[in-house]
Amino acid sequence: MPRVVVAARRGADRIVALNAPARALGVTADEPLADARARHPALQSDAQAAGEVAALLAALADWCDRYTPLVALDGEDGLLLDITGCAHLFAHDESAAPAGEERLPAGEHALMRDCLRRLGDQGFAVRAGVADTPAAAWAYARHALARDVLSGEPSCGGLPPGAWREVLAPLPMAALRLEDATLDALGRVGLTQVADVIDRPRGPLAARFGRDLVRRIERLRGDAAEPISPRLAAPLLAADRRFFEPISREEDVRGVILGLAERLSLDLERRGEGGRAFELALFRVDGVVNRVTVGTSRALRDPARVRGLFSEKLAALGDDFDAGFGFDLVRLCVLEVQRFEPAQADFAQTGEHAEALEALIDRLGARLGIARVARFLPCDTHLPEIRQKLVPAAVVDTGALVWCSQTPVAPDTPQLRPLRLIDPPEPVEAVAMVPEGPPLRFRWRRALYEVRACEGPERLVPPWWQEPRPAPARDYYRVEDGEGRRFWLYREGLYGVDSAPQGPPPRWFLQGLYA
Amino acid sequence: MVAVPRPDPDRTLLAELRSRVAALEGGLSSEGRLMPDPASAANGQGPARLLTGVAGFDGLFASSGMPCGTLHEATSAESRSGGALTGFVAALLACLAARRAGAVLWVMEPEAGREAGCPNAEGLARFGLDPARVLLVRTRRVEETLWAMEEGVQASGICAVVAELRGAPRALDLTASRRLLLRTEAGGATAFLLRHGGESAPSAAVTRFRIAARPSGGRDGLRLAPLGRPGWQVALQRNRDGRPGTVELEWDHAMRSFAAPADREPVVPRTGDGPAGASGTGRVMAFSRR
Amino acid sequence: MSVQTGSRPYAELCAATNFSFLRGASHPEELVRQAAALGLAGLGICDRNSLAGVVRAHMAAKEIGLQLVIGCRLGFCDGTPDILAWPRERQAYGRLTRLLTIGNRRAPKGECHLTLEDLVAWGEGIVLAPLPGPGEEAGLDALLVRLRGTFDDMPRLAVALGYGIDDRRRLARLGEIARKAGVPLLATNDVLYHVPGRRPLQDVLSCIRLHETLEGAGRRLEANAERHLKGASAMAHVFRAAPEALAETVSVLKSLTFSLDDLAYEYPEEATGLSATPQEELERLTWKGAERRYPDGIPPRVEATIRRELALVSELAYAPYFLTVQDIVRFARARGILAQGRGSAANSAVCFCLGITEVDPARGDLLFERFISPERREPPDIDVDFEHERREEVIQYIYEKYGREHAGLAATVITYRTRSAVREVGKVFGLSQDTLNRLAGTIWGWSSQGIDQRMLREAGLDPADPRLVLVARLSRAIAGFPRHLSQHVGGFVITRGRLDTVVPIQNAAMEGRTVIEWDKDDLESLGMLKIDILALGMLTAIRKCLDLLREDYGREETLASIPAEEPEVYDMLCQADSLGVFQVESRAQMTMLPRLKPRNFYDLVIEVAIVRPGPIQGDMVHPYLRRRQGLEKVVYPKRELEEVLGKTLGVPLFQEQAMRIAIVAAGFSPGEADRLRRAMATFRRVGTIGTFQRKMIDGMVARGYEADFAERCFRQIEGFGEYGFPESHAASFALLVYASAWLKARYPDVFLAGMLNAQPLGFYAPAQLVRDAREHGVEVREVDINLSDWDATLEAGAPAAGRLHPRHAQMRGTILSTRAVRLGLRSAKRLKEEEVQTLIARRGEGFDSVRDLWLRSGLSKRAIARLAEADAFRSIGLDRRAALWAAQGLDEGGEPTRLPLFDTAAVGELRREPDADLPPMPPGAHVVADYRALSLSLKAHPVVFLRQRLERLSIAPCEALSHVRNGVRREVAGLVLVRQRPGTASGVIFMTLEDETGVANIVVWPKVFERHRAIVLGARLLRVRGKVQSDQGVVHLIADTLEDATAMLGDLSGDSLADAGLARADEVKRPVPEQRHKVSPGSGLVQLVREVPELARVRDVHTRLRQTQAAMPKGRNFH
Repeated sequence: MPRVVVAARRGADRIVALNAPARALGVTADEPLADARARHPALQSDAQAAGEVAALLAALADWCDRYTPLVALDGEDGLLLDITGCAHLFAHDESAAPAGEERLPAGEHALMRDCLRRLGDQGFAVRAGVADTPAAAWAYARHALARDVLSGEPSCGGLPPGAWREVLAPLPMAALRLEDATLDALGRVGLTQVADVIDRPRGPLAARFGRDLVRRIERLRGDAAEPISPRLAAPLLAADRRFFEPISREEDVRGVILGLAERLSLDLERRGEGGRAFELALFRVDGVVNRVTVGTSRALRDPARVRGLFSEKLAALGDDFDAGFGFDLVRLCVLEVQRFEPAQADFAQTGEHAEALEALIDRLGARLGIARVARFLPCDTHLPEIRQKLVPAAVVDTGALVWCSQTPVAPDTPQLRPLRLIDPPEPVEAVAMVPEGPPLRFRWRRALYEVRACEGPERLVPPWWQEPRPAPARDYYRVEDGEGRRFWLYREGLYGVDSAPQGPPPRWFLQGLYA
Repeated sequence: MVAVPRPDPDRTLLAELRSRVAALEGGLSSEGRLMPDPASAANGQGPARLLTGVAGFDGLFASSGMPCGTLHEATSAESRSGGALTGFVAALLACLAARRAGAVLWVMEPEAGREAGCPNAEGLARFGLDPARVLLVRTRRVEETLWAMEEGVQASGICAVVAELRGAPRALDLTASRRLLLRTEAGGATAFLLRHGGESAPSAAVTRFRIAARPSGGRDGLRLAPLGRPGWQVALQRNRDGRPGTVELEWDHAMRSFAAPADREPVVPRTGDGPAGASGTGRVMAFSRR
Repeated sequence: MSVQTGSRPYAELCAATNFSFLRGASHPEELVRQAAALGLAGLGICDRNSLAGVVRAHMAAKEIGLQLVIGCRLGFCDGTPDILAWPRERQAYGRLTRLLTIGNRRAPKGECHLTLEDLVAWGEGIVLAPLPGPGEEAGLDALLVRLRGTFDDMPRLAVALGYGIDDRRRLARLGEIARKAGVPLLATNDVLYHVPGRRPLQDVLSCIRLHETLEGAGRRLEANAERHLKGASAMAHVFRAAPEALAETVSVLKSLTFSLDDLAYEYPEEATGLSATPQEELERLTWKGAERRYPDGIPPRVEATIRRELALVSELAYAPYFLTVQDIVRFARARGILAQGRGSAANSAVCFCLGITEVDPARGDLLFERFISPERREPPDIDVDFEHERREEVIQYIYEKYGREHAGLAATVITYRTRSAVREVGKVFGLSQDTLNRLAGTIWGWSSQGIDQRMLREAGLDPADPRLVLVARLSRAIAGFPRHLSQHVGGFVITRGRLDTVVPIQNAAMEGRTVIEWDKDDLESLGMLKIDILALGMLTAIRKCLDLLREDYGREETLASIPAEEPEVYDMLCQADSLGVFQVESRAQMTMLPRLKPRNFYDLVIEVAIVRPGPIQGDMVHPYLRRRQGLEKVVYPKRELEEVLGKTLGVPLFQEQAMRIAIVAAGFSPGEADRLRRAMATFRRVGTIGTFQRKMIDGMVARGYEADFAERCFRQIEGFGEYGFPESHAASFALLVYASAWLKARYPDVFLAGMLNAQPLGFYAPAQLVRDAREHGVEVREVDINLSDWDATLEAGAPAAGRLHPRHAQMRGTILSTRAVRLGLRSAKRLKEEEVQTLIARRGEGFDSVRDLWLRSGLSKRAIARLAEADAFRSIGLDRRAALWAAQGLDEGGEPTRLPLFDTAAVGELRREPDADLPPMPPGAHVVADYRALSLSLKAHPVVFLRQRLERLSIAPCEALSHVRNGVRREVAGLVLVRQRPGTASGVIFMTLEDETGVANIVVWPKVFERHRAIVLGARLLRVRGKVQSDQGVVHLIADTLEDATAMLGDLSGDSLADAGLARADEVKRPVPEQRHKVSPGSGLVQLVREVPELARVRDVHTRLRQTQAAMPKGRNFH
């Protein structure tokens, strides 16, 4: 079945990925979904969740650290690996290099082959190029290898040291990785290929098209260095400890955590930062790696608290904590850092309080699960059941929790909204006035209530645009029974209006309790 | 309304300053800002006792006023009175929170939520308790509830802890409640065990309130009265800090304080209102649950 | 609510119409009708700081017999709660309008800034009632006491109960406040719409106002649907606790006596110059003008006409009005601004003598009485067209002469059209921009039943999406809603008293303009005189042509002096060779010309009038053509119509004729006929047309007319309703048709230059005008920095008659042109006129290099690059690329080097650059670049480069169509110039394609259109296959298959076609098998199939295609 994944780009839902049947129909990437669907109504589409691809690519990048610690993300769909000094480790791979790549050093060639094979096994179609400079490798992989993809084999190749010119010169200007505006300006004077600029005097080019163009050329030629920014945090923020004799008791692990946390704490202090997310990696002797992460609500570097958080987490794991034959490597990493703002001593009270509260939230969250420690988030809606939302206290921005902006309280303002919400509202039997009036008595959970006092109705009409058939209006009443208990009841449907002869008659529900 | 030691003027000034700065920085909620209590902020512990201003209530306690920083218990006869029970505790919390910084930790089990529903933020706000200050912790078992409570009463960022339970769970035995009491008194927060439909069970709590709603209005034939103020019949069944007794209380939303019940004219005139008023038809009909 | 009681009467005094923009959700007429249906005692219109909707409500209420209260909801900017205001009588009304004017004038357009102090100053005689919203109770008592102490009239406290959170207590509290202040409570429902079903629409409007989606608007939307008009019993139920508040509505209603009928309109005094009275002055000027017009003596017939007309004007006391118009035209003429009057009174002998019009009454035989009749007392209507570029001078003259207190522009109510409605509503529903575009694109096919599912699918939308259905439904409902007030194109109201005591005045978007709140229909309804000061692009073009004629040919002509009735001019028009000619250049007109074969001025009058909704809907066109061609005998339905229909061979064509038929043949009184016409103009809004229809048809049948003829006459009147087109308009236009046709026939070079210099104008783009002129032998030269002015100019050239395209061979003797046209720099996009004028001023002996230009002209680098893009450096030997390279190399930062002092050899040496040695630009790329920069190319037509490929596909050149037999099937391809779907042609689309040989006229029947919708609307280069249909020299291709060939254009700008061709093969990409990956964090990812990174070369081709596509004309769409 033709199937595509779409994402919102440049004001339209555009196709970002597609499968073979879709491609066979002539659908292309980057075209608006609606264009494709106009031609092929049967096209199935899924919206791409925000960050999904980025997460996938990030995961791939992390996986690639088996080849080199220096892995950088390259746009939305590329990875850049600095394999300087790493390739020789793979040189033992004896497989013969295919034609065209024989001049590549054996290690580099083997590394690339290994990488492509493994990625291919995971189902990824990959193009890879190896060259002297990041810019040349980029141009090569993205622009020179294009046609080889048709062969069906993973497409890869390398530019032997110093051999970039003959391959890269005929490539289109886009291979220089320029901004669209620059490409356009170049195109207008007929400069469309790398060859058109690569040997031109730099001065006139820089004067017309900016320094960036010259920088790109120099980087392609290898005349200038190009820094890459590896994805993974610098090893400064990881600490590990190896054991010849594997450890397996929880207490031992906790002890190790404290030790590692102390080492990290020093690093963090040097950087003036604190950790917002920590990861504990427990490498089991049999190769399984357990990873446990904890997040904190503020920058943290106190080793005891770090250990405390992991202790709660490990306690929560309970029987799931399985050391097997023991761990031979324990690594503690800081995944996320933030500037460490020491509490202001002058106003220690609020600072202390806030800090203590955050520590409490972290502790409770670690044990019970982050989502179970919640705050009330106000939602802007008339509908009572969705007026408040419980959000994890650890992640919510407390600035969003503005509840007290109600109109000033006039004397004798009654309690307008109940103290407790029954969710979902429970249907009740009722005897009530018609067409509109409060229930005089009602039966809820098998008990009968006589209404003695009442106010209302307040009429709320649920959103009319959400469901195929609009939900009926509700008339809310605040009532009190003979014993002083107070309830929030509503009649769903207006008697004689919504209950047309054929429609269902109105019903009564109980949605809240008052004091 | 709060019994306080005579404040040291300098400390008071400093505390008020702090409070203002904190308010500017958005650190404290608006409720806390409204009524800074210099003394409590100054000693960091909050008032030792809470005065409601209703003599009949305050007088039940040994040295006038309900003791703070300890463990209380409030129960209702059945869970359908959860509104009244919650209201009483919310009122106490609102008084406490207005006088002390810190969050309110509200712990509840799914069982309690199923019976009496979830606390409603808008409703709490009307009582004067800023929902932004409430941390709602949902546990799975009674043991977790007790653990969370213990964590809460010991934390310095918390001014009160409420735990909702249903009935009298076995895990909450005398030992457990004694342990809780000790931790509470060691910490600074005031703790409430809120038990829906709880029969009397052994407990180490300083007090046990039994709460029932107090009717505010009555109807005259088909004519329904408007609602009066929220009110309670409070039976202080056990009081280690004074004597047991019963008292009737009301809540004044405008003043955000307790009040002794008084027969007051309702704001809305009775004449002409109610469904049987001008419209005249007043037909009555039964609706089924289906 | 069906609560029945012996309900007391109730008047709803506060209803917002949709003139409370983006708040009210019902038309004024709807509210009035619903109020009447509910049996309300009266209805008060209270729009927010505006009276824009009251006239419509007034007219509707008059018709239906409901007591209407004119009111306003005053909103303040000083924290005062809204106050409802109802003037009791005329004087108080004038204070209210002045109050609003004050608020409007001090605020930006569309806003009104009022304070309580303003109200205190102007509120006497106005019944006031604060309407506090929730939380606005504080301070209310003080406000009431203050209002009570300030004015004689007792204020009221208005209360609206909308089933809110705390209605009962709120009512009790407000009752208490009112009691203490000693003022009565007043009930209202604060109405926003007439029936509960409008609530969704109101929510949508609120969201549009808030720039929010429905989800995002939250509690800013109403909580329920209660703000509709409610009847007395429902209100009695809501206000059962305060019945006195209901009774108060009726007592307020009774105290208000003001009606819009009280606005007695007075025309201002005009200066009487040398005479004692306006009438004497008018007569003096008229006879003086007559002597000028008829130097050989006034023909007796004309003299008699003048006397008759003057007598009529005197009887009706319209002399000041004629003097006003005369004065305005006099002013324009003194400034050299071309002006031409039209409208019912404009083509009178008096107006001809006064110089208001150039249509000689002797030439047209038009009857003045037909246009103003004493029995109807309808104000005369004279519109004056001015050159569009200079109309502002005239407008400012009027402001200056009468003052802003007495003169104002009428408003135009800008309403939502379906397309704009879809965009706004779709946004509210959170649809993406792309979806909105597509949805808007399907509008052509929306029926009243809803959107066609198939159409949605074709547009690539999901028909199962319920949001789309809602969007369509609500968009249709919003269409026709007023969105904001804009200024009318030129309708002026001038009053003797202060205008701001008649209607509120507000600022217009344009600096120096003020606008009243009523539109021209409102003014007409109230019988107020207005003068339309209109802008007409063709007048600008003609004036520029006349200037060129004088300067380059030494021939002095005016509109009046252009040689009349030259057969060669009519010969040209009969050939449908009318591209660019005023009014008769559309496809429909071009089709009509060879059939109608105009041979004299009156034929042109008919030609202009016949292709209009009126005659077409009345099915009058074909009968007229048959009679004209002698295929059918000229007979009259009855003798009595002979006088009415004599000039049009017994077939009614003009609006006046249709109205006369209603009077003569259906027995309407003139007043009734007038109401009929007005009902037509607004019939969609009011919907009370049925009674007229019956009366007219029955009346005609009763008098012995055939029922079929009667129905056609009625349908014709309906057609005029949408676009009334009287003979007098047609005559004024016909004069310009002739003038522009004469210029085109005699001096195509002058005509081209004039037209280019008056752009944008007419149906066709400059490219087509240029092409047409070249086919008429005119040499057109490219823009150049050393040779072009801002405007197109004439240069020495060869006689055009020797270089005619064979198609126009017969014009050899007609064309007098001897000059070549040099395109002006205005043709180059995005160049500013000031820049170009500077360049010209500093040109001197000419520039000799890009650098020289830069240093001497002071133009920015960007402007110079644009000149290079326009290929304007050929005179110094640089082509586009070379010039651009040089321009790019200018060092913008180095400001000092621009001083001549530093431009010495030394600096020059330093800056000397190696030769650029740029790759040469292929011709196709040049043409595309020309289109991009100039919208046209003199080098070649883009399709030339595709001809070989097209030939291989057996696609014929467009021109070949005219050489084949009727019924032969052919395929052609060309750029889409125009798409037109006339409302009268039952869904047929006319398209015009163009290739290097000529144009092809395509007819697309609705069925074919539905199949190829996206292609018809989207293609820039189109292939069409179909059957040739040829009739009297008019050739059409009836399309059966269409194919979008736009992709071919992508090859044009490539450096080599072969390379592009190869690259296209890359588009086949390797499929990737579906796979599941362990790391997938989300569910959607399970199905994610990762694309092989897009191939660079393909992207390159795409980009190139996109750019080329953007350069090519999109095709203009007309309805």
